[in-house]
Amino acid sequence: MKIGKFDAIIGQQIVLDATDEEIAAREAEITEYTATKQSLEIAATQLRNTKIAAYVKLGLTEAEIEALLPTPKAPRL
Amino acid sequence: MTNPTSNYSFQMPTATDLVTDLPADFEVFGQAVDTRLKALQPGTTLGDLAYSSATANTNTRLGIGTSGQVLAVSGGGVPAWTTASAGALAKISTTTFTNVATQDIDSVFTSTYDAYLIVITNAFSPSGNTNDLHLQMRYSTNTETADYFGAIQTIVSTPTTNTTGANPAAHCLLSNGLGNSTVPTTAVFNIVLPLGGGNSGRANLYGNSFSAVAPEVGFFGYEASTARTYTGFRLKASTGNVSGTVVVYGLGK
Repeated sequence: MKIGKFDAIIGQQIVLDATDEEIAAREAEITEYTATKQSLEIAATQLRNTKIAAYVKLGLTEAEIEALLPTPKAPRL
Repeated sequence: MTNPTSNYSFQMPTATDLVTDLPADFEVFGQAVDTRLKALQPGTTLGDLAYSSATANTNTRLGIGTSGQVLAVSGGGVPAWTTASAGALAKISTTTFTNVATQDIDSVFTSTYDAYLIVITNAFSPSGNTNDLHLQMRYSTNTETADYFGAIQTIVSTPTTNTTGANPAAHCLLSNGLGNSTVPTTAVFNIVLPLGGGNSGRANLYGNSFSAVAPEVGFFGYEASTARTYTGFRLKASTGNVSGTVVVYGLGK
């Protein structure tokens, strides 16, 4: 894993191999990011399903529900 | 040639002068030339300049200025060295990075400026365009990894949707979907240190980005709510590597 470091005092870009500690921190960060994103996607899907169920009870057709609830993009984090 | 000379009135020997008077005549002539040349070229030191004075045929010496000074006109209407005033927008750094997991830009926020303009161009993820572009603030050699409050609102070509991030988040989301090298992402935003550069305080970040993936425009605003003496920032992709160029400008106080 490569990491870039620029310091304006030195004015030079250097690329280093990440230390074991930096690799572990980056992997933990990605793991947390992925897990949080998945949980947001699940929550968004549940909310959408709840809304669909309510619209069904109101007697809306599938096309009408789709118009009200367009397929969402994946949640952003 | 006229005698005395037409421009500087140097007195030369005349036809009726005695030969025995010539040494004295040439002393008069030579000293007059020497005095006038010195008046025209008064320089004594490396870098000296000379400019015409109010006295005819006499120049004034102007000693060299200090490093970085520029030549201007003084209130008296003569040349003078002066320190150039800083422009309203000063470029602090330009950094190009290629296929790195993280890119730190350090020592760019100082007491010189309180507000900064950041321009990111040609940003993409060699790891795939499902990656997003993230930013975290840096203080000294540390990275702030928590307590970013804010959101990004995106406008997509079709359909129009708004999305936001979690609060507080571990980073600022600058762009949804880093492009590839053919259709890279760009972002232009401000980072403002409300208590002044070089002081401990929060950091405000707001601006916009364009991702060619959807394509979509992102409008974002965040606050790094933990008070630090922020000195720089880190760019990274959400999961993979990132490439790009970032330019930092300081906005004059």
